[in-house]
Amino acid sequence: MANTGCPERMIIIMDKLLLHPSIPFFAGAFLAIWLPNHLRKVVQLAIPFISWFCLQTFLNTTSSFHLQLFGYEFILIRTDALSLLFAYAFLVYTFFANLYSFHENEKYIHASANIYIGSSLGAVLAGDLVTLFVFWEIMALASTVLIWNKERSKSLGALFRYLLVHLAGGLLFFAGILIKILHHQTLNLGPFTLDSAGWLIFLGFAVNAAIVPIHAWLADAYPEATPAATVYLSAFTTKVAVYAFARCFAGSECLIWLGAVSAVYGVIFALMENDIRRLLSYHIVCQIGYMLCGIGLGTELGINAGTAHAVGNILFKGLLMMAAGSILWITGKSKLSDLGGLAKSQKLLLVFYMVGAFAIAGFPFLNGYVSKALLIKAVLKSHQEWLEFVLLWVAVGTFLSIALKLAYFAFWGERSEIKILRPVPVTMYAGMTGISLICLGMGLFPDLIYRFLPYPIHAQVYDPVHILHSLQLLAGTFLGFLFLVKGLHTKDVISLDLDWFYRKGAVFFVNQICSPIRGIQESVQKNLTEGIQRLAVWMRQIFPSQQISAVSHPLFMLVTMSILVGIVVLVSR
Amino acid sequence: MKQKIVVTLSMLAVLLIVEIFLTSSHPEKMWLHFPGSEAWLGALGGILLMKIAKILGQYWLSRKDDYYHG
Repeated sequence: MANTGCPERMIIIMDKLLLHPSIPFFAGAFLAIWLPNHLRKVVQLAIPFISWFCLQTFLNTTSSFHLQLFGYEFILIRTDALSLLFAYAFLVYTFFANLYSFHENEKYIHASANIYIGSSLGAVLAGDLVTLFVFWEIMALASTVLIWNKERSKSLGALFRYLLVHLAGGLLFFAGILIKILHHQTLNLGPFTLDSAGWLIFLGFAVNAAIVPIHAWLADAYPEATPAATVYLSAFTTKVAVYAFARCFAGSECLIWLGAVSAVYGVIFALMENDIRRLLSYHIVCQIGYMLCGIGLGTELGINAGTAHAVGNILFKGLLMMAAGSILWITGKSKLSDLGGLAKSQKLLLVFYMVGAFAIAGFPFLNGYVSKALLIKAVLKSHQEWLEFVLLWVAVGTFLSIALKLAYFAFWGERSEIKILRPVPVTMYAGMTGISLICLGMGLFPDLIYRFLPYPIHAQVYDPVHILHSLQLLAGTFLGFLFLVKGLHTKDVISLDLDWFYRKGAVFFVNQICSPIRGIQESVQKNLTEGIQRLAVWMRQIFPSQQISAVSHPLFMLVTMSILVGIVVLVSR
Repeated sequence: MKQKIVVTLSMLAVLLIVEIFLTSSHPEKMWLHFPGSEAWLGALGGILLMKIAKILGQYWLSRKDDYYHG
């Protein structure tokens, strides 16, 4: 973004603006509110295609989406391999997520999901920091609405915490932009140095990426939303942040450390979890760690591996969230301690769940294997053997917690009698089928993803030795699980995370700080109340009782208060 | 359970034999000098992770479900 020196004028060419791939989503949000139920659902399915068409039309023209405003030039769309990779992944996933949530009758979910996806798309296509920031904040607000779940009273608290954390992240990001403007630095998106502005922007991105230790909002908020909303939430916020890191901070060594810590932390907390959607949320933190390690390496292969894993994660984590949402939908339960025995009645659901579980674990012939193999190759090329060991260890934990622990307790487990409240809708199955096939297709034919990666790639991931080692790793993990499974039990407990500091610790801290102030407040309140009571007694002695009741009439009080407020406003001006 | 363990061990034995024929005598990773090293990493790493999670949960981080709302 550059100061063009032009007079302050806004040039908006409507035919260009209408081509922005976010516009169909924003329009769809308004339509979602006004259209009748069936028509709205059909429109929902059409929106990703219209947006795709807009993107293709833009790619086929030579026009640019530059907006001149306040003497600055904003780049609304910049298309290169990196942004297109994420844009395509978002659009493909959106279609199947919309299919999955076809049964959803809540208008606000479809409306806010459209704004959320549209702004995510706008963020990955943005060419400058200000445009990215605007879409970033719209994304935060829309996703906040998605967290609201009428059926869970806890969701409101989670929603406010989510909003506060993201507003704080947005403020850091904004402060970074302001410093860049003050220092006359370029705002075009590209590699940034980690100076004061760079660090603030980095921290803003880190909040959205849910990097440890600022990750707790994710496992707090996502499991509170409805099954359909969680499917949307799991795909966009963190991946947009990963894109932003790849765009602006690729090669920063601290990303490798933060990624490794996030990966280990996420997998250990996932193993402790009892709620299936909280467990999967911790795995988002864990897998973000993988992506950041690749991006932190900064090599072409590392960035390719990190972004390929981000795209893969959108798909297989989405599939796992869909399966978990289906379990919640049919049983009304999401805790492993309440579940069990679903394998008998829900065979198809089990198949879809296991496809997602094996994909995330890196089982050969699924997309997770391809991206993890690329990452291991990138790590080895960078001579970071310790990192390879950590990532393999985390892969063990991933297979253990998702494919073994969660599957065992939900589909087999100790409880064999579980009441099925309602069947899984066909459209939910359709959404899961589509994603499963893509996971399989990208695993069998890695070229499907290679051709969209930011850098040219000729890596051979299907060499027999690597397949053999992957199978050994997974079989060894299974053996370890078999040895310990008898001692494993699920309990109706939660694990404390770092959100304790602002959910309990901060309350305690504020109480301690406020206790002297509270004494003064109580004393003032007591004296004031006594004074008013004395005044009332005195008034009653002076005026007859009927006049008192007339004075205390609500309408009289309202008019009097309005006049008083009016006088105060006039005087203050 | 015993049957599952036997089947898994047999599978691992087959993978180990195949590894002997496939891998080079100078592997790129240090720990690949040991046969079946990835299987060992899977089994021992998995057990270690489960133990860490159990100890952390049992002695430090686990609370009743209504901890924040009780």
